[in-house]
Amino acid sequence: METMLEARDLARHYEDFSLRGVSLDVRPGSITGLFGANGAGKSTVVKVLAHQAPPHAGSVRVFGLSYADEERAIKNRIGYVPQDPVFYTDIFAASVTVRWMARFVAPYFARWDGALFHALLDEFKVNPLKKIRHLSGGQKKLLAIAMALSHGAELLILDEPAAGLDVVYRRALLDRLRAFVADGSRAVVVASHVTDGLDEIADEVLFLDEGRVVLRENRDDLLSRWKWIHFKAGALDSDIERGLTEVRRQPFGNRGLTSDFRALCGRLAAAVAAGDVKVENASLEDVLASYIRKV
Amino acid sequence: MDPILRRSIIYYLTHFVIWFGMLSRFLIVGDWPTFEIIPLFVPAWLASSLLFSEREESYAFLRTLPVADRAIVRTKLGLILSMGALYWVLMTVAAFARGLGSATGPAVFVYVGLVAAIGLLIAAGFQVLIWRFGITVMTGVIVVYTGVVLIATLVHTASMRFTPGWSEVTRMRGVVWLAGAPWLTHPVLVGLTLLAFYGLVQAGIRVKASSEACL
Amino acid sequence: MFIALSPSHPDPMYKQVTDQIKEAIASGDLRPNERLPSVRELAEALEVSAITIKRAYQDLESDGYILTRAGLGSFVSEVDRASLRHQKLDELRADLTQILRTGARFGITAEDVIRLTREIEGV
Repeated sequence: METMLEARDLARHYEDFSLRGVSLDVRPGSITGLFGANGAGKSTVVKVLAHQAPPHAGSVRVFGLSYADEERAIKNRIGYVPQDPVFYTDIFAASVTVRWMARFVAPYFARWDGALFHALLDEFKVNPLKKIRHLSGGQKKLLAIAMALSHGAELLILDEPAAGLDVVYRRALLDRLRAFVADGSRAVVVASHVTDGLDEIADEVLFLDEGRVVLRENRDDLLSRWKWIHFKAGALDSDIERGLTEVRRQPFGNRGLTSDFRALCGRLAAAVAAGDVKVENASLEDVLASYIRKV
Repeated sequence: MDPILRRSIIYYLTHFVIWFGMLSRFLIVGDWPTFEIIPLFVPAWLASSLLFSEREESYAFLRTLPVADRAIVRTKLGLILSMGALYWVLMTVAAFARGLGSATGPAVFVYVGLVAAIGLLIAAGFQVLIWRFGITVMTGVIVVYTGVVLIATLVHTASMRFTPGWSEVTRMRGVVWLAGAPWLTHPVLVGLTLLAFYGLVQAGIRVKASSEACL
Repeated sequence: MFIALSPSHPDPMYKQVTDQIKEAIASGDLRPNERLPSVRELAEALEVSAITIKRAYQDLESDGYILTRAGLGSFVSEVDRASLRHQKLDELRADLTQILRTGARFGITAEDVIRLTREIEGV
């Protein structure tokens, strides 16, 4: 199909915060990253996309269906991981174990794969016999991730899945997500801090700032036009400076960040050859920081 | 059985077992005063079952599962309706079994029907209000309601000690009037209850779908 | 002197500093007996730790490019152009080998590279 998820002009208002005009399209085979500072609205967007909170305006269509008509069908085909996963923890005095939880949720999913679920628990080192309320925050996250991956979902919607995970599990998660979209028929939408490593695997990047989408672009395109440029003192003229979003002057050379490297490329060619200018890649974090500072 | 139903029903069943103990006592002893208070417990019992069940529920978790709001509303309200009907039927059967019909007349059955119907509709109403306002807000309301009903029941029971013979309820004007045509009153009562119930289900679905209270 | 450090460069930071100071010395940007910035000054300017700069200066000194006088600072040594040239040639040999090898995969011969070199130089 063309688009797995289509969101148009989503809005949601809180007392002190408003999400407005958020639109995105998720194509099969892609990993879409939602990045932004704390409080920018990443979690809110994810919640609306996964039907955990109703939008006050706008629409969401998943697999071409709307939640109003086909909530159950859609939720069967998406895997959702909240920022702070909650589970049933207690029935009377009998405390709920991971295994009990699996047996509880299994009948709801048309394609629950118990074997895969237990294999994932094994990989994430979560003991199925452990009581849910004894799990650490990271382990609850891993449990939620395992559940999301175990029912034949075609679209994963994740809210900061790597937060609270240590390096080993973060790597495992990234590998799993990469593998998930590898055959080109499934997709992932993930909200995260840029520093959590999920920028490595994102194909499409969305920046949120104070409730609005300030950037929506293919990651490779984005990083090919944002570059750091190091100038020998004197090699920086006002003409070039106009093409830079920020300049840091240092005694042993100036450093500038440009958002349109292609435009500057020609003018820099000679200086590069002469060794007066060096070009360096910018990270997604650099780009996001620049966007936030601008606003 | 539906897993959500399985979890919620425990609370209703434990309450029911206790109530059934009281009913058993009546069935053995068979005297009127004992029977009078049994129906009065039903509204409090249904509300209390609801409260325990909802305090332990996690809609945040359920929302992540492929369960439609419609299904949750129907399951939980259906449970209240079923329990209410169960109480209703058992009380009616017990009253028949102990010959109350011939002793006090049809007023007894009208009394039972009214209390059961009102009790279950109020409980169902509370369930919808919980979806609208959240369990934190509604806990106080339901506790107060339950307390008031229980206290009134106990006060009524105590006052009956000084009234010989059959109780006042069956002699209340409204009840007697309704008992005048029992073959009409009961179907109408059942019909109205089901109608009101259907309305609550529709309202419940609308409320749950757009409610922010359980977020 | 122009120093541009890159976190994604395969060489560690201290080596990048060392190499670029050597380049500055070779090209004449840094003259013999010129005083280098203090370890702290350079560390602040380049936004790296003082330990990195200290190590770079130590390597430069052991390779004979600079001299450190306690209390006075670090100074560029008298340049031995011949040995500098020699060292750089060795580095270029490795680069050139890489270029020739990559080119060979595309059917580019050494003659092609020589011709290309002449073109660039305008000969």
